[in-house]
Amino acid sequence: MTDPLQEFGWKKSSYERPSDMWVCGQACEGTPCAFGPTAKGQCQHRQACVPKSNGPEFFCQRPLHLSGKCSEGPLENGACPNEFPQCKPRHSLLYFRRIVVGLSAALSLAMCLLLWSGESTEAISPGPLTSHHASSDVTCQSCHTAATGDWTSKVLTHSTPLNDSALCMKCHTELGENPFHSHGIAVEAWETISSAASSKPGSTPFLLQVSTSLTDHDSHKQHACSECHQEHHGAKHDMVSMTNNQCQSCHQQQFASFEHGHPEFDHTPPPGSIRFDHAAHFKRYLLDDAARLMPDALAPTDCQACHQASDDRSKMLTRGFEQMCSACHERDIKDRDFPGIAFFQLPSPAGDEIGEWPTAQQSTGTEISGFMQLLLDGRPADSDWEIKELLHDIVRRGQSAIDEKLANDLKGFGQFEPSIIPALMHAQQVWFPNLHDEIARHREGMAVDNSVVDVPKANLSAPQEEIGGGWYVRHDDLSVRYRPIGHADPIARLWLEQTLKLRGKVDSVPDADSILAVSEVLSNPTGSGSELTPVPVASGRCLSCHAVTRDPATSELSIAWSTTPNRIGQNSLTRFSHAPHVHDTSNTVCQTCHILEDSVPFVSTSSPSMLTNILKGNSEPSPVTCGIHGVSMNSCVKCHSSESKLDNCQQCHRYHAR
Amino acid sequence: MTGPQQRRMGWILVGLLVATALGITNHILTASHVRTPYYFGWLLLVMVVFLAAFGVRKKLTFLPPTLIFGGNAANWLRFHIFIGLLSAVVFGHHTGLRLPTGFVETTLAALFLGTFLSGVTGLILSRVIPARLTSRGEEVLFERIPMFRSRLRTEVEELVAAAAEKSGDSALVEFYETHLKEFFSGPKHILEHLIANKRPRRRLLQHAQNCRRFLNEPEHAQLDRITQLIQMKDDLDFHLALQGALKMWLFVHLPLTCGLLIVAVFHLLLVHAFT
Repeated sequence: MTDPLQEFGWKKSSYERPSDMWVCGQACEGTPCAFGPTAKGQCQHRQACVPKSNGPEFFCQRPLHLSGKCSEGPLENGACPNEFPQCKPRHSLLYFRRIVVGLSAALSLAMCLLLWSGESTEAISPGPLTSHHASSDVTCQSCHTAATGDWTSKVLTHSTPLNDSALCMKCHTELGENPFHSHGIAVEAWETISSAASSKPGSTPFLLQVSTSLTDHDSHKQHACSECHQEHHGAKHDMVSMTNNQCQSCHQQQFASFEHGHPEFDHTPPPGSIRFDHAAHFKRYLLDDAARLMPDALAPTDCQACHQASDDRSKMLTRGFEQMCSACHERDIKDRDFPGIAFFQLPSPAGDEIGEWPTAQQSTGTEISGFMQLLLDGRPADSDWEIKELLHDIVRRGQSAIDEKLANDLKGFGQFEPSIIPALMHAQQVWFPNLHDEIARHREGMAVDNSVVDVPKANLSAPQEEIGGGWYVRHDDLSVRYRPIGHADPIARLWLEQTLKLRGKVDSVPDADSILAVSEVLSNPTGSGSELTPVPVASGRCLSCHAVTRDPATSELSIAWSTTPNRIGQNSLTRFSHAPHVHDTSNTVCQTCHILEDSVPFVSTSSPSMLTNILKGNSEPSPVTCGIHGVSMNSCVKCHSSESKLDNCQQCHRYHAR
Repeated sequence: MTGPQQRRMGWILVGLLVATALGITNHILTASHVRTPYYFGWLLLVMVVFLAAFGVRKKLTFLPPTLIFGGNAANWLRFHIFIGLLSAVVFGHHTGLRLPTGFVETTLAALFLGTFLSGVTGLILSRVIPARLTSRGEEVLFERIPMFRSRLRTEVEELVAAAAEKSGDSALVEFYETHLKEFFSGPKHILEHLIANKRPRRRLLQHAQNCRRFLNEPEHAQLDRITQLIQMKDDLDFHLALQGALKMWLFVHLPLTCGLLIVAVFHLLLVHAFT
C-alpha cells in the first residue's frame, strides 16, 4: 500500500494562494516555504520560524505542517538556527493569464485607435459594395454624409438616413419626384388607393397581424433607402430582395400566400386595346371561312402568325396590319365607291353681283361644307363674295390663312397632312381663273364681269381630278373632297382625334355640329356617309377595331390606333415577362393561360352617333372584348406555389413605381 | 432522471423557448421594417457585457451573494452558460448568417466566434474532465503536482542508487538510465493523456517487466516499488494534463472576450455615425 501524495488538513497541508501573482521558487523542488513571496515577488523566507520571546527565553514557532517545533530550539539571541536559502520566486499561472489578457486588450485598443484617427474612411468600410455600385468614382462621401469631414463628430449626433438617401438620388433619378414615399407614389394618391383596398378585407395570418400592428402606416412618412437596401455585403449581394411579409405588413388587404388569398387579377382591358375577336377568328373565320375570306393567302394556324416575341422575349408583340389583317381586310379598306367627304364646296350663288362663278352639273344647294363653316367661324356666308375672299386668301397665303381662320381650340382640324391647299389651288384655277383681279376690283368698289365660267371641257370629260394623297376636285358638284386612301388614313385619324378633344365642350363650340357631321361619316361602319354611295363603305370602319376607350385614371378619351404591347404598363407596380413562361411556340402553350371564350357574338360597337353620344355624355365607350378570357390566377398557381418557392411577391411586383 | 439532470433539461427547455421567441421576434420585426440587426446588435452587446461581468463577480468574494444580482457564483455560472449559448442565436439574427466582409466586422465576428467556441470548449471540458480525473490516480492540487513529481523522482533515484551500491553494475541502473531518467525529469505524454492514450504507460511498465529477469531476488522488491512510482508519476502527468486543460482554455477565452468588448464598442460607434 502506497502512502498518498496529497495530504489534507490544516496541520498537514498549507493553504495554496492561486490568486497570487508569485509562487515560491522552491515549490518545484518539493520544499516550498510557508510564507511565500511578497506581493512584489521577493522571497521573505529566511528561517523556519520567528521564535517568540517570553521574557528572557525564546520558543520555537515552526508550524506543524513543517514538522512542528524543532529539537534545537531558538538561539540565545532569539534567532532561528534553521536558516533557509532564499529562493527566486516564479510568476504564477494567473500572472501569465493576465499578461495575455492585457496584450489582447492593448492590441484591440490600438487597432481601434488607429482606425479612429486614420484619415481614410475606407479602412472602416464594412465591406465591398455590390457590383452595381462599385466604381472608381464611388467613395464613402458619395453615399454617406457622415464621411464628409470629421466622421467622429457624427458619432453622437447620429446622421439622418434621409440625408444619406438624398445622395442616392443623385444617380437614381429614375425614381421620380417622390422617391421616399411609399412606392414612390405621391401622398395625395394614397387616399384613393387606401380607400379602394379597405373595401376588400382578407384573412391575415397571426404573425402578419402582429407585424402589421407594429408597422408605421403613416402615408406621409418618408422612407430612407437603407430601410430596404443593405449595402457592403459584397459584389453579388442581392439588395432588392424582400420577404412576402415585409410587403404585406404595409398593405390593408392581406392574405396567407399567393395560392391562398391573393386577389384575382383585374381583367379590365387596358386603355388602348384594339377590338379583335380571337374566338370568332380562331373558331370560324380562320377555319371554315378561310378559303372564302382569304382566297389568295394561307390562314394562320398558330398564335405566332400574329404575335411575335420581343428581342428579350419578355413581351409578345403584335404584328402590323399588313402582316395580320390585310389578307382579309385590305379589300374592305380600299373604298373605291366612296365619293369622299366634301371639305370645300361652292354653293349655288345667291346674289347677282357675283363676278365669275362656275356652273355645276349637279345641284349644289345653298349649304356649305362643315369645314368651310369652321373657316367662316361657324356662320353661313354673308355673300358669295365672302366665299371667293376665303378661297382667294387660302390660295394666296396657304396654311397660315387656314390657321388664322380657325379658332384656337379648333386649329388642329386644319393641320391636314397631306395638305388641302394644292386641291384648293387647282379648284381656283379652274373655277375662278381671274379670281385675283376680281377680288382686287371688288375691294376697290369697281364693277366686275358677272360672266358664268364654264368649266373647261377637258375637266368635264374627267369630272374628278386626283390631286394626290386622297384629295381630289369634283367639277360636277364644285367640291374639293377627301377620300381615305386606305388603312391608317392620316386625315381620318386627325379628324377623329381632334373630335375627341372636344370632350366636355361640345355645347360651347359653335361649330360642333359641323365637326360632328364629318366625324359621323368617319365613324359609320354601315352607311355610305354620302348620298352618292348606296352601299356600305370602309371609311367609317375605323372605330370598329380601333376602339374608343376611356382611361379610368385620367378619364381621358383615346382611340386605340396601335396595339398595346403589354397589358402591364411601364408605370405599373406589376411586371411580367413571357420569356420564362413560353417554352415553345405552339398554341397549346399560349392557350394554357390565354383561354378562348366559347362564343363571342360580334357586336359592332361603332355607329354614326356613337362618337357624338360619348362626347355629349349620353353614353360611355363600349367595353373592349377580345374573345379571350382574362388570365386567371389558377393558371399561375400551378407553378407559382409555396412548394416551388416561386410565390414571392417580387416575382411579379416591383416596389418602385416608375 | 436525477435532480441535476432535471435542472439541466429545464435550462435546455427554457433556452429552446427563448431561442424560438427570438426567432419569432426577428421574423415579426423584419416584416415590420424595423432595423432588426440594429436592435439585435444592442441586445448582443448587453449580453456580452453581462457575460464578461462574470469575471468581475468572481472577484467580489467579500460581498454577500444577496447583494449581487444572480446570487452566488454558481448561479452566475449557470446564467453565464445560458446567456453565452443564447448569444450565438442573437449573433445569428444580428448578422443574418452572412459572412462579414469588412475589416472591423470580420475582426469582430472572429472575436465573437472565438470567444463563443472557446467558451463552449470550456463548458465541455468542465463537464468531461472531472469525471475522468476521478478515474485515475489520487486527488491532487494542480499547484502541488511539481512538488509531488520531485518527491517521486527523488525516491526512485534513491532506490536506483541503493541498488547500484549493493550489486555494482545492476540492470536496474541501466533500466533507469535508459527509460526512467527522462520520464521522471518532468511532465511527459501530455497529449496522450488528453486523448486517453495509455500506450506510453503500458510500454514503460512492459520495459520494467522485461527488466525483472535480469535482477536478483532482493532487487525484485525495489523494482516493484519503482513500478509503483512509475504508475504514480504517470497518474500525476495525467492530472497535470487534464487540470491544465481546465485552466488553459481560459488563456483563449478571456483575452478574446476582452478584445471582443473593445471592438464591439468601436463597431457601435461606427454604426451610430454612419447609419
